[in-house]
Amino acid sequence: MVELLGPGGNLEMIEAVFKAGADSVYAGVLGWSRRSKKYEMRDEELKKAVKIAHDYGGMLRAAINAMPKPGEERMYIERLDALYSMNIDAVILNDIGLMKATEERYPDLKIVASIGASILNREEAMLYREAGADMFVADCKMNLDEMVEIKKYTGLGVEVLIHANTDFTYLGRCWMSSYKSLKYETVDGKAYYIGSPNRGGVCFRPCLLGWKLTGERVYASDFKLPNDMFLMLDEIPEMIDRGVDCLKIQGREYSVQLIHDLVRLYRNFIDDYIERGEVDMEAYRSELDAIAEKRDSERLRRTLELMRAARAEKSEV
Amino acid sequence: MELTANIPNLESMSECSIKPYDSIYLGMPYCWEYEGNLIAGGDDLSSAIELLHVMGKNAYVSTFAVPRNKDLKRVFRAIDLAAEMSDGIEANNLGVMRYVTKEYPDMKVIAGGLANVYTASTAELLYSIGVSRIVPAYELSIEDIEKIKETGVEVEVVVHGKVPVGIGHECFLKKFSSAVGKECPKICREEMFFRSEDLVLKPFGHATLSGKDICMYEHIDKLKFADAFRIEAVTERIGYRERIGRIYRNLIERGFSRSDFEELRSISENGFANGYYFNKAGQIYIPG
Repeated sequence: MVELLGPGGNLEMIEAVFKAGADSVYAGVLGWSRRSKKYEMRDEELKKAVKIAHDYGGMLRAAINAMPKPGEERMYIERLDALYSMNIDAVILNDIGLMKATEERYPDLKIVASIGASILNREEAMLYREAGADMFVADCKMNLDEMVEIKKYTGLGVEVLIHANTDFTYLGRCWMSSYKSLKYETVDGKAYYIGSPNRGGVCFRPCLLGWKLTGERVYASDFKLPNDMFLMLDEIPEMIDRGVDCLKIQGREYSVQLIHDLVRLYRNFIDDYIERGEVDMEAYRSELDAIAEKRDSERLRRTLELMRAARAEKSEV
Repeated sequence: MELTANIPNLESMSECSIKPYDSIYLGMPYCWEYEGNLIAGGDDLSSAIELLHVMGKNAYVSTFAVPRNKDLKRVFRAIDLAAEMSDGIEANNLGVMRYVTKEYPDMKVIAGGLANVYTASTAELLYSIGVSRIVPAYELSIEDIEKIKETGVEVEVVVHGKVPVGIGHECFLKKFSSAVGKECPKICREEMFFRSEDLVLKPFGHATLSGKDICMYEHIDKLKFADAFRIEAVTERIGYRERIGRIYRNLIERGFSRSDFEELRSISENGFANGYYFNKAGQIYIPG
């Protein structure tokens, strides 16, 4: 049975995601995930999050997928020990070295190679497998044939983002935001880089600024570099048929209601397909379009907030 | 201290542009279709390696930076050819690293900057499978790179040139072919930049590079712990590689020169930056 994974930006969202029918939820460890501190959790909240998940019969994955500063490996192990003692069900990791350390310390803990690892081919996936990964998140540009090939070759589970954004770079291979603006501070003694999503801070989304292409003259102006949100629907039945293991909805920074509605829709869609082998695509598409409108409006507000923050070098975003 | 640079094709290999360097990385890792790309197949790679050896230089061979499943056969073919003649293989992809270290355990393997080596743990893991040198992730500061070096692996750092600030699945520049009036592969021969607010970026193949030149000339002493200095010049014209190489060769052998530094300034189209070496935004420059 394919797993439906929802975002946990706060405890209220975690509750809502399970009420809406998710099988599992992911939550960010404060200072250690690829999102702003606003959407991450301290240990006390994480413990409550695990309880909520387990009370619903679900699972909690801890996102600890920011790249730490070299020398913070010991701090990572302390965080890992704390998470393991909370009975989390899996960790989402980016760094292959930390994956190896995790596997050696807790061989029974499930490890998911984050989309930030940018696994692009079967040989690369195999190295992650050898380092301890159990599942990988497919890059948004990867097609289903590629995912299935990797799964067959490595034995790794496949996770696909069905609500996320995709831009013109591979997700873990973009440093444009920190090239534009970067503020270095610490959170509970850990280095924290506002402006660098790879290192745990926000992305200021500079790709969405108005750009021009210049050379001997101005060739083009007022365009954006690709960064588009997508919501999958038509592709999901084939993904289920061909053995995709997990469908993930991103969105820790969105409103609780929006995420609840999204999870509910996908839960119903998956159940309909699995039970009946077919779904009323038109009905679902029209429902999804209505949710997408709300999502776009929330995203635009957030993008403007981030762009203002980049210009002002604000730290609380 | 080993001084290195990169060269994409045979056409860019003049004697003067190679002379200041100890080692050259051959091939354009950001795009298969780049004209004459030494790693795209053909006899040019053997000729380039031979030429470097005649000049007494090390010949390292780069590999395509972002290979998908469909690209692996082609990448491995280039490696098989290079392995017989070259002094090292640079890989930016962990899958490619896995292949080279397994198939050619005696080969010098260099993890490129796009391999995203951020932590000492990853440096140790790669070292353990046979990677002997690492260009640390571009986002790392000097103190971070020193930690990577402590693992025992060699480190190579970019001291000058345009570094990638992103790489993706396609060439975004191709979308502007009609506006520019040139098609692939001619379009990237033009000097073009993306500009917005205070940002300047250089689009090139699958990569987007810093529009400013990363310049550590004034801060070179802080990087002396490294094993190699890289001039990142794979997208630059021949003259750039030659002049920058000569200036850094002088710096290594004779020390700081105000006139050389001014010459560096005159070569840079969009000014200097320090990248991330000082825990600041990549586009900021701190005078020495």
